[in-house]
Amino acid sequence: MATSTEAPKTVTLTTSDNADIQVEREVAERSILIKNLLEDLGGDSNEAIPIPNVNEAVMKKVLEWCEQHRKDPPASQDDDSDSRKKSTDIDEWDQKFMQVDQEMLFEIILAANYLDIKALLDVGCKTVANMIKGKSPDEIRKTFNIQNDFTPEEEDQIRRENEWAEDR
Amino acid sequence: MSLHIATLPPEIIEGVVQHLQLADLCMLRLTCKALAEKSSYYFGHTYCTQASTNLSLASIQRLDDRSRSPGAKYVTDFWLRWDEEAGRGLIWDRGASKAILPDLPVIQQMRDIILRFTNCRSFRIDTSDENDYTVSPRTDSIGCSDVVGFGFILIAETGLPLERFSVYCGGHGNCHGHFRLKTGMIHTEQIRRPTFKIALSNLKELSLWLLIDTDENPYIWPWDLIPLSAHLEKLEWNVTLRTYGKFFYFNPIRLSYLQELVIEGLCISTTNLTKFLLGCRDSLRSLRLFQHPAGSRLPKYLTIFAILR
Repeated sequence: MATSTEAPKTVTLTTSDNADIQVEREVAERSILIKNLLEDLGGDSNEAIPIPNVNEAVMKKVLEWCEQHRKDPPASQDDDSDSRKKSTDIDEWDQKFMQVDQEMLFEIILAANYLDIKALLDVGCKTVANMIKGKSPDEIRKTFNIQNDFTPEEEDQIRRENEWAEDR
Repeated sequence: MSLHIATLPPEIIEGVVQHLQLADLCMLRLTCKALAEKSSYYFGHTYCTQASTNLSLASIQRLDDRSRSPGAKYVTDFWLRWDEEAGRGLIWDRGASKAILPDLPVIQQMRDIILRFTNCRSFRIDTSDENDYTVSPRTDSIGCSDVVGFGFILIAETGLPLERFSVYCGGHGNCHGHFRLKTGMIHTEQIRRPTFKIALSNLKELSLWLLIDTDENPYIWPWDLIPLSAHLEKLEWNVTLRTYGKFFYFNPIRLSYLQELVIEGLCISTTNLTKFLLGCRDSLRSLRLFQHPAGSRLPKYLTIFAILR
């Protein structure tokens, strides 16, 4: 049986801080934005792809995730079900991957959103949701360093709206 | 400037809150203005689409407050329900027929409230328990027939462009004893008002689950709702008559858009039903017929299935 000795195709990504990162095309194409750009540029273009909204550190982190998940099947429509959305289960590798400081966590989420990597965006949002679950407003404020800027009247209005939710 | 959760764009916050249960989302909304605002669209569209009242003073005051809030725009379903506290705190004056008077101040107030729910397209009346004013008359409470009557008045007063209208009274298993809708108490005259007709003119779904008392008044009013709703796509008809065993006859009505039909509890002659089904056979996708065991006429219905192919 013949084996292919051809090297995997690579692409170069230029980040917002002008760093060039070379990566296998299959890995980079976890990003729908990059996949579409490459398709638009034609098959064998060696042109660097500018990624002006993501810096080198965040891009490397995102590509680490893409490498790990390079063989994942594409998300099906069923994955948008309400039960899936409500679940905050995250697989072990992703949990460890998301053990970063809050700023990097939010950077990854923003990058995943910009690069159109739905599964990574989902893991990021679930990680933030897990940091909120089961906490009081004060505890959430402490976790995320949020300043309470409500007037008593505004806070009262939110409380009433919360009571109206799912009025049955 | 370093990144902060409150500075994330609304679509990201929405992505986060989709993974939260309501209780956690409520806590998050109480942390700061930015997060309350950025989660408000999801919160409103997911959890604030229903508004209900049992017509007690406390419940109406709460609903009035809600109808004046920005979140009123999220309400798509309005629900009148009966429970043990229904009507409490208000005086319900009645006319000679024992029906509540149609010009009570509370009706005006409720009319104004519903008109503030500008996106409301569904109206449901639910009196799932057994109770009626005639059984335990009090001036500060109302019964199931009153709630239905109140609903009819409200629909006529508001002319709300409804897409779904449901009346659930007692449920099939509870349609016995003294629990029956008293036709004389439910303001059936409202059905003939132009605003009532307008409200039902674009109805897509009509569900009627009730037992009506034809002893005092033989008028089978539920059927008169159907000709008002020529665009019906779904009809659930579970109307049981007190005069069990007699056939109910109705004029043929053509429902050219009807896709789903459920008929239960009403004795309809095969001929009459056949004519009705002929009028909707091109659009009909689902038909469910239920009959009382004693009145089973399944063999005759075989001709109907032949019509529907």
